[in-house]
Amino acid sequence: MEQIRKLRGRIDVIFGKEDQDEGMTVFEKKTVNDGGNVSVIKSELDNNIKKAIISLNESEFTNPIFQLNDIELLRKPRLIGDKRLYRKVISEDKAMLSFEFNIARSVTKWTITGIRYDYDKQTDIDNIVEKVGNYIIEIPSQFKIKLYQFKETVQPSKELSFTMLESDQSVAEDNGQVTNYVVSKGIYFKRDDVIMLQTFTSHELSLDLGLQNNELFEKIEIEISKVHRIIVSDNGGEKQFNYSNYYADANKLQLGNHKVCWLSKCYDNQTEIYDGDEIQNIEITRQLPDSEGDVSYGLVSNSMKATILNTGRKLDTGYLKDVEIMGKRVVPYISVDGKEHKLGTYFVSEWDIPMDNSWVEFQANDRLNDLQTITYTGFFPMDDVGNFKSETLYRIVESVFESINENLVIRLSNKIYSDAEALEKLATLKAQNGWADDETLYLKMRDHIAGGGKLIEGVDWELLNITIPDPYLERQPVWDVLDNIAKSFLCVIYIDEKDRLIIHTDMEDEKRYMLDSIMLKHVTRVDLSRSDVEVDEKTVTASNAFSLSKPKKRKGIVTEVSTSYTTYDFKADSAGQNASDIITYYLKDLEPYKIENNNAYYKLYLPKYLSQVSLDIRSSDIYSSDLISYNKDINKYFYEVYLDKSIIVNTHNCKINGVAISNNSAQISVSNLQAEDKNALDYSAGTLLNCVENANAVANRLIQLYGKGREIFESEWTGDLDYDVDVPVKYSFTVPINAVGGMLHSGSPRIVSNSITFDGGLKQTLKALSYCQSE
Amino acid sequence: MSENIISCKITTGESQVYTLPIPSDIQFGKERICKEQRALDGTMIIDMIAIKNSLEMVWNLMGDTDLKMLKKAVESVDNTFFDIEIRMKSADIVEKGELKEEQENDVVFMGKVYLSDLSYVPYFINGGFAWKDVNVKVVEK
Repeated sequence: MEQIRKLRGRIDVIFGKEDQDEGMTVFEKKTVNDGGNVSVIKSELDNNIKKAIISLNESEFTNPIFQLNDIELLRKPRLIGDKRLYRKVISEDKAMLSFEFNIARSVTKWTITGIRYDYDKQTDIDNIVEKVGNYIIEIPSQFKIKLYQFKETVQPSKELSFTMLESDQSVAEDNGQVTNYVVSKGIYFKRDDVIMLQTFTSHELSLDLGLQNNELFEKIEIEISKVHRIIVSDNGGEKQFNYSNYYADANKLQLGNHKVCWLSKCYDNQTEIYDGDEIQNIEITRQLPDSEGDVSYGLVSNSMKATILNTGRKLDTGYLKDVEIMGKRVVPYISVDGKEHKLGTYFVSEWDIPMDNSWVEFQANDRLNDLQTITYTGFFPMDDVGNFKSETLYRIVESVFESINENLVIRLSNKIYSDAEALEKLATLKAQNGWADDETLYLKMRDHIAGGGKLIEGVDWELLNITIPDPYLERQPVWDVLDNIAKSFLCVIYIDEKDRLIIHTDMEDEKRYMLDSIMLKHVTRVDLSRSDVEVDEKTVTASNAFSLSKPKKRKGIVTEVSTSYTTYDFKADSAGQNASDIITYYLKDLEPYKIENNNAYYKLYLPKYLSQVSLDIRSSDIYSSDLISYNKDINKYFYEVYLDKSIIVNTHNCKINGVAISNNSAQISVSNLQAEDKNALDYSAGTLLNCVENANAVANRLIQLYGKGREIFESEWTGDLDYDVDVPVKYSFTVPINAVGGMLHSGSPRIVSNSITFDGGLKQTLKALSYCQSE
Repeated sequence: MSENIISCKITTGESQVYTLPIPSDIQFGKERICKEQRALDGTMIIDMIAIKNSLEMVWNLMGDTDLKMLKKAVESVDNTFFDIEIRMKSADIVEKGELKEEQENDVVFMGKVYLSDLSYVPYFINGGFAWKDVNVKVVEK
């Protein structure tokens, strides 16, 4: 341990949605040419974007930094400390936008957003525009993107050329088949030799740059040499694209009388960086539910507090209110002797802005908290013939990930592999770990993937060993499902510092999960090991700790595991049974949550298992299958219902073979108790623990883990930011401290609580837990 | 010392420039800002935060007008921090072949500082008074 350290802290405050992190956007914005004067109509901007720009700008909104002929490209990046610059080169035949990033970052997409043209002003454009539902977009149609690994270099590290297809094209593929690209059916871009269909939604066109996430760049330049106007006919059905020859001679950036400007953004998300003299302190608390040494499973959201400088008192009024809807995230970093550590991502919940000093304190929680607002679609698996079936806990967790990934608010960083990619990953892991062909867990994972399952980073493979008969989970917040899973099968669930949801179970001694492409293996009761040896070598000792404590082990004995649960009984009644009740039950809570951009219809998302059911949904006036269509894609089943009809869900003629509902409350008692301690433990499990076999397994495991007590080791020390919750720690000290012949205490428990305080100096308080092996 | 000092200026946040009398003496120093804690076995652990310049100026005797100006320059509540610029002559020994020659250069100390200490003692003389031992200590922001 180096005894003199140089430390720096940094907090990135990010405004914007997470799914736009990797994007770059050019926004279109109409201007009016009134006697040669260009003015900007603010009201036509996307409302969210306008808020972000106005509030983040220090300068006036009308102050452009790009000038494209008489077209204003609006953008004033606002970063505390002026750490980022935009530059421009504009000539008659090209416009070049240049963005420099403060930190090298991956750029995987470039997004162009066009807004609807103002119909009233279209007097000299094709008649087609005047039809209802038509609008015009104007997008760059020929451009080069140059990416620089270092901002100082002259030669770009990558150069990509994009050209929009303006006429139909047929291309012979390697396999001899001919693919026809029909430009009226979609917008196609040619990236070097690759032709890509670009889905056009919400007036937004996102171009895949074909780059990897690990390719980092400090600078990007976009050279636009041609612009095209496209008329989009959209009557709520399929879109038609009309390539007007309005700008047939569009080799120059001449846009005729119709002045349109792009509002050019570097990020969809804007980042303010606070560092050096702009931070007073950072406190981060990360912990697991059992951080107090109690027998406790469930979810605990991690949190941070920080005090940052209220430069120019800008946080006092308006600023935060304006950007509120965009979402605010903070990412704290602390670097020790030049090595930077990202310490998670947190969502700001509370700002404290005192008027009598220049500092602002905020509190933020990690994304686990936000899982309370995301709805889990339910789980009720059926086999091909409509019978309910058992599922592994891994499969249920997979369905939870599906629900999370469908939302637009939260993005988890877990990598998810499926199909061939998953099998390839599995083969790599097998080779890395030297598994035999008949390695049980390997085979289970292989079968899981072959059966359409996914390989999810951070999820314990031991969950494949837990099988739940007839699992039933209703629509509910994702948080509740995870809490249920954690309590039912002794799972530890948390968000790690790299924003991944980690789930593993204490049901078995071994916990194995993939993280950063390698398998981590924890052995609960014997020792703890982790592949990254760097962590293992660090130890809390008397020469780096300010205080240490090792309380006496706690004792606890399980006497009873109880759960209340709901069962769905199958009746082998071949005649079938009227199932209207159950369908009504499912649909009564069903609320449309996604509305298509043409506002033509709702999409009703249904639980997957209802796909097996022949369901009859009626609209208010007529029964018509063309008003309500049933769709199915890879992961979702939904009905589309047009908005101008009210909906009645009528299930009178719907039948499912042999389903009846009964609600039971049951206590599962464990027979083979060793109840000798009066302070016996009652453990209350979740509803997924719905059979005696599993309840017995949980009870036995609890006895095994806690029966001999647990030990909590607590240290306040100089801190090592490689340590996070769930990481094994080593400690050794003698009592009395440094005494020759003193009693040596040592151990390697697992961290259950990690509190970091940085106020110029760094201090870390770790709590670590181990299970006692013997009395 | 004082004969080597060319000028001493203070610029406040409002761009008001004050030219101070030449100090009788100047003392430069460094202040170390760090968090120090001792581990259980007594090992000192230091988190280095920054090293800041400090500067102490002494005027043996100063008129009342000058002191008022000095106080105005350093005491303003609205401008906690101010810029200081001290220009001095230095004599470097330069080797020219076998000869050594003294060469005069200007050395400038500049920085954004805040007032740490200010003290002064009244000095009664001839029925009136001036100030002696005027002592100002400033520390880099």
